[in-house]
Amino acid sequence: MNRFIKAALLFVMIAALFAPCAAQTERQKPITLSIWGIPEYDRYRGTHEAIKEFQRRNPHIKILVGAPGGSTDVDPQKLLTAVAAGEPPDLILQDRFTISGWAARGAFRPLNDFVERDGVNTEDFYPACWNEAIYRDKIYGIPWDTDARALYYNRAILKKYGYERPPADWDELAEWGAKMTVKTGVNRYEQVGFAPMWGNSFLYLFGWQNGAEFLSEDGTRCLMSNPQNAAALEWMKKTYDAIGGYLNVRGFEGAGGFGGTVDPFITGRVAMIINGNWVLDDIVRYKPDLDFGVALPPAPKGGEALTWSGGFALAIPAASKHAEDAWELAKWLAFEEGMMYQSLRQKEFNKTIQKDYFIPRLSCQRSLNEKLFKEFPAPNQNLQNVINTFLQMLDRSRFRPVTPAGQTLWNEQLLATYLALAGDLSPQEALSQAARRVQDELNRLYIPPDYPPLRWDWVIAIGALILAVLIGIWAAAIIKFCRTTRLYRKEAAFGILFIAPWLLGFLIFIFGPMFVSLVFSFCEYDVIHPAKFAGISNYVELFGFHKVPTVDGGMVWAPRDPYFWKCVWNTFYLAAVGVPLGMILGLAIAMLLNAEVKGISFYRTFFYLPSIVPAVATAVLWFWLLNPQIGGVNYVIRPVLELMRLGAPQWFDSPVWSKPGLLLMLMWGAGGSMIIWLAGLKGISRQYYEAAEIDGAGPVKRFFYVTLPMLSPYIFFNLVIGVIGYLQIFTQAYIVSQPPSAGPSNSLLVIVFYLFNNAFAYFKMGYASALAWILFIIILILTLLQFRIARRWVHYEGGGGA
Amino acid sequence: MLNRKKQSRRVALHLILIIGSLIFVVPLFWMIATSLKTEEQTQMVDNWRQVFIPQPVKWNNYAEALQYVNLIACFKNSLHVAALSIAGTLISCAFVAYSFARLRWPGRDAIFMIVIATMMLPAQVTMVPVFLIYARIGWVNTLKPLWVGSFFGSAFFIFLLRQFFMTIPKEIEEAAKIDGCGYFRAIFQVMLPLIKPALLSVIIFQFMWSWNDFLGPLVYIQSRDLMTLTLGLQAFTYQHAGQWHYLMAASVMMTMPVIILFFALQRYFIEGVTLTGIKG
Repeated sequence: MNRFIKAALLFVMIAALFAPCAAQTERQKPITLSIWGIPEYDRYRGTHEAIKEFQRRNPHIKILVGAPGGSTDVDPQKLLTAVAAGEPPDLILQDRFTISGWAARGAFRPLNDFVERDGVNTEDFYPACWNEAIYRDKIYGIPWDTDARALYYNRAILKKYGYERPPADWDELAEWGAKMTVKTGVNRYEQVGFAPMWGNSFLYLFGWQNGAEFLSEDGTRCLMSNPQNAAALEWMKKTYDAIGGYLNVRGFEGAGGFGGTVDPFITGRVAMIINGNWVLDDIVRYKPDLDFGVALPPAPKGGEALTWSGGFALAIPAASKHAEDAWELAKWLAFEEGMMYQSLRQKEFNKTIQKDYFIPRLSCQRSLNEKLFKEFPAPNQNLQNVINTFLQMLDRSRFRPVTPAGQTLWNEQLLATYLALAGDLSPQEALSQAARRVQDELNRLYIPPDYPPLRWDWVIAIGALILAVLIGIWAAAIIKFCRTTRLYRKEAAFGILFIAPWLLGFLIFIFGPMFVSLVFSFCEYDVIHPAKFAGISNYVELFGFHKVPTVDGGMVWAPRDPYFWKCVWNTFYLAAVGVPLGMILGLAIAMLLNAEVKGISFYRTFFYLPSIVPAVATAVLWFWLLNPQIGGVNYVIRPVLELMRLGAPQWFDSPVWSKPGLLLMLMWGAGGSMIIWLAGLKGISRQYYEAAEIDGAGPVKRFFYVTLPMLSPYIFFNLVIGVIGYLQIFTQAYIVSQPPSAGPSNSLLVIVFYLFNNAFAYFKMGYASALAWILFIIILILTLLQFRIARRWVHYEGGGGA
Repeated sequence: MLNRKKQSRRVALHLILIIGSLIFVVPLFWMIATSLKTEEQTQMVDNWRQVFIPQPVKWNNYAEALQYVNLIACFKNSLHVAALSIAGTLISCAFVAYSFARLRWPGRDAIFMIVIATMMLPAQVTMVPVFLIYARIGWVNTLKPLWVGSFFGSAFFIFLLRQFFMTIPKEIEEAAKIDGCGYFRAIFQVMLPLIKPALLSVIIFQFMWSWNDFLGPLVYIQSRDLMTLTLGLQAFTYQHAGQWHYLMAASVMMTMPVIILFFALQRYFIEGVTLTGIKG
């Protein structure tokens, strides 16, 4: 592996050196260029058309469009796996704030040579856009689009409450918002005035407004836990509490999703919302005459009025074999001619879907924006004013800190916000915990521990030795066998021949990988760089505790990796409730269906059917059924709960209800084990029941003294299988928790989920391997324990133990 | 008197069964109902009609859902993987299981214990290195990693088929041997036809596993045109959050083949489950 990666890197470097001249000579040779990250939404049609146009203009280039971006980005795991496999795309549309992270790991190619050669006018870019793609003085992406966040306010609603202008500061914003909130039930809303996290603002906005910073100037220290940030978070929490608390409002937020005919601002369900300029697209489409305005988001009294911008950039992975052509495509997509073309085609496309108006996306270049908005004017004066407000904002816009720990910083600030708003931790505690995590990551990146490279020759030698011993034992047995008997030689030869496929598979897919993953668990390995031998540091990180400062200045012991304990707790919670519950439910159904009544096979089918619905479809279905506001389950139980003056559960929007929600979903499939239980019930001889009846045992006694003992092997079997299954739960939790977050406050972070994130989202293969081995050992111990205990209670009819 | 008691008991039982079935079937019904609603209607919860009855019925959701994410390609990919996995499993496991069930060779029982033990091994332990192997030979972002493994046998099916082979009387095979059958012919012409139900169970299980596999495609597939249904549906959820009518239409399309298979091969389904105790 080591050598392989070295060779790959060398190749990349050489390729990068020679790319320009190679492209000159190969200009007309047919090539395939792959581009990733262009979303499939309607509002990207023009861009897809522009890509086709580029292909038409360059007939020798065939463009493959892959891995569409989601609401934020290409799944980082997708890009990582492609980079690791040595086959990255040639061009990728990437969220700018994550670019430095990839650049720091050497995954992207600096573009300075191209920029200089082609005389790109860097002055024309907004500083927030250009600087966000720079890491250590090199530019790693061509900024493609940008955005800005503003306070949208619905004039009609504001007027109704007597406000003729948008709120001027935080106090007014919170106060007016509370006044304009209309509740119709314990946690049901008809209208919300203002909710800080609804839309697109995040702690970044409120923190910056309050004078906070997130990273030190040189990027080596995380400043997230400073008092200004804590105060901003405190204000957010108070604002939520004034309108019924974060969790309740979140249920209302989650109901519709954004955009389209159900956008909360367009439908007037929210009076004021901080959101990006992209919302304008839907407003012109669905309600161009909406009476609204936008303003720079209000700051605290005396604070700085500002906003922040994000946006995407086109980056070229370092291993791209066609950097020159990728650069041409990037230029076409990001600069004037191509942008105009995209806008034109987008406008045409909009017409085909009954959308009469079109608003171009914000480019990162001042002069280009002027041209774009002149060419494509807004349909009415109000919208024109709105657009002008946005354009003016861009020059005072901030951007997220450029750091190789960008992804971690983003995830952690988001988690801290949720934890504080939900009341799990105080704002200061939540921020301190997050800051510590980010600082750990920064330390790893800037002061990497000095681990020696992994000695692969040793690994291979030890592996070969173990293998040789195993094969030796077997070979000895074979030789002995051949000496003692001649009769079965042919049979034995065929026997071994027939298991050869399994034997080969065992070596390649089980024995080898198990051994290597054990080795990795003692390594630091990010796939892109060679593995380093790190001793037991992964296990220390997982199980270790260290002293951390508390809010009031003291010190306290805390786990080094709180997420690990969280994921173990979550998994055990699910198993401890889910396994017995599933068994009781399955047995109860089986006993019902064991009755001999008409139509029993229909009933059996009905109970069984849900269990064969594919897990992904089940998860999507229940995600919808358990939607707090408009889901079917709450529709049914709400009237009952409201009689008792209780609010309906917030399910996957609440850290308390998300696990019960997941369990409910899993119980829907409980009919699956029914067949096994039925087989068990049918196997109990009638005689036992008759004998019990003669002894005067009622139905309850018969159940406990006959049915249960006779079913004990089945109970045991289901227990073992159930525990193993629950400990490895992943798919359902992954889908309902909308990755990369793992459910509200990480409440659905199960072991395999955390393992998957470590391996394929945080590039920590060693850490993931350690987790996998811990999981394996937990399963092994639990299973052996169950077998041991089983001897005491499992009764096999033929005698004999478990 | 006794008769009446029995009768009322029977009515009560039916009542419980009907209510129970409803609880289990209504979510499925709701999935289908929602898949036919307009986007506006998915948001309405004022009365039960709005919640359960699509008004108007919008069949076009299916066509639109197909168009949005490349669901047709996803279907093809899922079928491709399922078909090859089934072929691989049948070919490899039949021989391996036969060898464990019928042939005598040194170390057989010890190695069979290893086979059983691997069933307990969580796939996550081997996930990272296996990924690196496939990455190294350039198979990441192809469908191969999703089915190639099945040609090397899978512990669960080996176990299942071995149990079936064991139930066949030895005499049948010996008679064939006397007629001059070699091992290959004995397997193909005598043994396999006798365990057809078991083979069907294997086909069903393998189909369901391939069809439902999510982690595999999630790790290995990046290109849009190589996504399997599970991955496609998840990507769809991500991109069209809130557009429940499309999501449900896609879910229905994904579930249908499994349900059809279930009704067509119900008997073998239940036999396989009963014999191995593993849910589909």
